[in-house]
Amino acid sequence: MGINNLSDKELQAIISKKGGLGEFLKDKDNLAKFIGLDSTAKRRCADILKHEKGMTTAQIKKKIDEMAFVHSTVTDFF
Amino acid sequence: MGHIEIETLLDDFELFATNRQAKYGTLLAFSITNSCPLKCAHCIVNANSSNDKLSSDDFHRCLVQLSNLSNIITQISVTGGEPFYVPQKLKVFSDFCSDQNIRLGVVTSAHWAADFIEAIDTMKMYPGISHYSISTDKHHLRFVPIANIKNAYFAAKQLNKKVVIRITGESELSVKQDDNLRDIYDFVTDEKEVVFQRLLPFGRAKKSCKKRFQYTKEPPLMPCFSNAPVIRENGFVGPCCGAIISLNGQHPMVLGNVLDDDLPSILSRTKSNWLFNYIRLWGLHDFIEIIKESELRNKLSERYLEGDDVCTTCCELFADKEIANFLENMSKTLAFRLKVAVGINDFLHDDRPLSLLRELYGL
Repeated sequence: MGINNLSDKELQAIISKKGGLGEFLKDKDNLAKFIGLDSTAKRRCADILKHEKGMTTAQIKKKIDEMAFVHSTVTDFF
Repeated sequence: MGHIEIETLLDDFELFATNRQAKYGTLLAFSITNSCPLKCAHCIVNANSSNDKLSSDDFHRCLVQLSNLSNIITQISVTGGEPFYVPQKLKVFSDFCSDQNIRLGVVTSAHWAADFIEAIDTMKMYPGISHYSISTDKHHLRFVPIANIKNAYFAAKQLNKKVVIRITGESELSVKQDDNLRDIYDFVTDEKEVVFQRLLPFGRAKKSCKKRFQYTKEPPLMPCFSNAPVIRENGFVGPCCGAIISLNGQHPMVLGNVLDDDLPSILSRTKSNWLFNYIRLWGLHDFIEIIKESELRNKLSERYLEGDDVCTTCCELFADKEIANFLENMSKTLAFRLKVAVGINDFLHDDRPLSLLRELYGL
């Protein structure tokens, strides 16, 4: 999911050609093709855990527990 | 350990992340003073190192500005320094939250609770405080004995306040094995009222506790789980009260300063802080990969705090002015912003960044 290098003008032109932002967003292929975003898929962290790191279920479980735990902050008491 | 099991775990995690992040904006954190009667070696905000810039009147003005937003903000968290060290300011928050029916939580070391009756009397002075987070650890104990923690805990219980005892350390295990802290687990009525908070390598802890941190070569994978913007005692407003609160001066995560602008306007900038929202969605992994491909690659840390700590890595990246500028410039492109806006809309069900993009670019 690299960040796309299209210039603002190039991207604006593509969106305009597709019929405006509303129409552009209706076609999820546009996002995948031009922005590199598959909004029907899980988020990046899930992708990495599952595919790139080749973790086992137990390792993923540990990582998730660790994350939920680490991010307890001073505002987490309500 | 099959495919279905992994999918279930990932789905559960996605749900956890989304539910937590969806609450962003309903809570505001205020650091009302940098002053503190303690001077702990592990303090990430370097308490007692700077002068407060906001007066009681300034805080009152901020809160009045929030009155129109009170249907959105349902909780306020007050921290510091030590909030009870500035009673006039704390009273402003207590009165406002009582009037507006907003839940108010305060983080305190309980240095004021040497006597149980006095602790009750002190708490009665602030009826608007509904939640107490009593912080302690081996550094605090040099200044505030366990007896104070116990007094404050039972005083809060007697007054029907919600209370937790927050213990900072390297790991939950290290905290539980600390003989000096064991009494706490014995006197609380529910172990869930004792929560662990991780020691971070910022402020005074960066030097004084450096041998206590464990590092890995793996950068963090997870998104940012910040749940509240913070207004600091110097007026700066940031998108979270994590490690980045320890950075002073301008950087891309600063939303504004309440001495220059009204608070609702500043808070509205969270939706247009594209870097912050990217990190909320996908963490820092992509940024680190892009920096690796740039001429700034040598500025990247070769080690990351163990435990997938996106918070520490975020702060380290934005503490470096060149990296901060590089990332800020990257976030100015329409491609970047559109990706973030769609992500926030689709994953966190918030269409405000997308609406903003339509306005900005006439799309």
